[in-house]
Amino acid sequence: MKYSEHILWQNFRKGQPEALTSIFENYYADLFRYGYSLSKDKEITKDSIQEIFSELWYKRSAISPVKKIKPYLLIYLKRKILNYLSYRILDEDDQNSLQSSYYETPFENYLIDKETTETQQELLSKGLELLTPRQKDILFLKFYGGLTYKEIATANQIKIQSVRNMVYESLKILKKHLLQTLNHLLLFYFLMI
Amino acid sequence: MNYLKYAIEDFIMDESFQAYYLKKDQKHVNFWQRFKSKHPEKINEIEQAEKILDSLYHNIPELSDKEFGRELNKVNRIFEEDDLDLFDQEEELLARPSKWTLSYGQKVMISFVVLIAFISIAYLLKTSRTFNEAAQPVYMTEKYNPYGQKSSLYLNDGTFVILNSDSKLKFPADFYDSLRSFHLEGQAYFKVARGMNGFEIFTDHLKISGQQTSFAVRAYPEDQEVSIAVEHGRVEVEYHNSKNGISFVLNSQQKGIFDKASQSFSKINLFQQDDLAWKDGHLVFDELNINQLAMRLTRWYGVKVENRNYTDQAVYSGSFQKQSLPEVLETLGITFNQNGQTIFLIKQ
Repeated sequence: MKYSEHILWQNFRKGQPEALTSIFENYYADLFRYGYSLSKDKEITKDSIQEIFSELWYKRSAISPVKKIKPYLLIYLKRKILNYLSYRILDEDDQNSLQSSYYETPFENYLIDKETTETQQELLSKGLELLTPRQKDILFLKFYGGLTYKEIATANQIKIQSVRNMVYESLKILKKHLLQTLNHLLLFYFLMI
Repeated sequence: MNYLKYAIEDFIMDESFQAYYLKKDQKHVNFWQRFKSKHPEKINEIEQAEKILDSLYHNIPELSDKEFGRELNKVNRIFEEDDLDLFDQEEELLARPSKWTLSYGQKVMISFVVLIAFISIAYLLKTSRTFNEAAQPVYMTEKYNPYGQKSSLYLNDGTFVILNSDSKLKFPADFYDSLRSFHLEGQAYFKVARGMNGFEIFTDHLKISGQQTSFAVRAYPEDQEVSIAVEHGRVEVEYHNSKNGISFVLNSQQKGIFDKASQSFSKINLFQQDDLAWKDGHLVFDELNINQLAMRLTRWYGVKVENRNYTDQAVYSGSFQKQSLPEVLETLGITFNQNGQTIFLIKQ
């Protein structure tokens, strides 16, 4: 696995289109999840991923060899999205004009979302607010980016054990918050019936 | 690793457990399924761990295969563009050594062709620009929902709209540099995002404007009244045919009713349930006569409902969620007959 990852990157740097396509296929799901967790927007996430792949292709000869592809792509994507979001705050209307006027979702989805999402989403985002930015950062890389503890440690230049500790702490905080409120909600639901 | 000593957090932390949860690896899926059946005493912890993972992933939408396919195509287009660039470079390389000598006549020919090409490009650029300029101001989008269909729209300024059935909404195709101006015929709910430009909704009689508010407008052409129910924020309403410029302000939880016949406006501090319930999929009505009810059901279910011989003295009220049309009619005690695509209300 390690071997092929290394070769894949090398082939992409040599200019093999199939190599870049494979990289895209292998890591798209994780990139999308991670990008969405940062931007909360499907279109921004999709566009940003496209942009980094097109940049990678044009700069391929200047790109250095990497041992692990996924952490490299995730950090690249994070920078891209944060950059985009800060730009958008400065010039919101300009950015809006770049997208199409509206997009539509089936009404049934809206209803289903409304029933389940409203409480769950609010719950989670309140729980995430309890974490420090650093804890959140690492938690997102772990669960949305799908990195291993080792990969996070290398990318952030810290010890694996510190990564594990940080994730453990974050989960403890989230667990306390989520389970308490979820059980409370469930109880409330039963009382209503 | 002693999984029997694992607490909830330990399961979530475990990379094999994560692979099982995300179904990334069949090996891990099998392992944890076996583990669960072998150790019922750990089921509680595992379920709690899964519940927390559920909420973590709940916020992330799943990308369909179709959407992924579209993204993959886009990436592959990078290479096509790249091929074109390479082709251009090759052309240049071939041209530079200029091993071929050209006769005077050929040179004149080439210059002539180049000149013609320049002129036509310049002409094309000019006409395409004027075309664009002319087309811009009139570009509008229209969304119409037939009977029985609702839709939710996310506009690119951040505004969220739910458009009810048999309703039509017209708006600029691009909000950039233009007033966010809408024309509504029918019923819609708006959750207006803050923006640089104003936000206005025109019905045949009224102009409704507001920022950072949410409200529902009911403006069906055949209705006697136009109503605006404000959920949050502050909304201004203006009767745009009046010369005196009559306008009203509605605040949160207030409802305004415009009577078309008398051209008068009244404000009430109480919502009827059906002002907002429709947007959450509840069919609610209050004191409708039989013909109004038939119209409401036609719109809601997308099936033609026609009154045959009920007299319109009785009034009907009700609140339904997810019931079928026959169920609703039975609950209301109305007898009916189905004939082809139409439901006839027939008193027996």
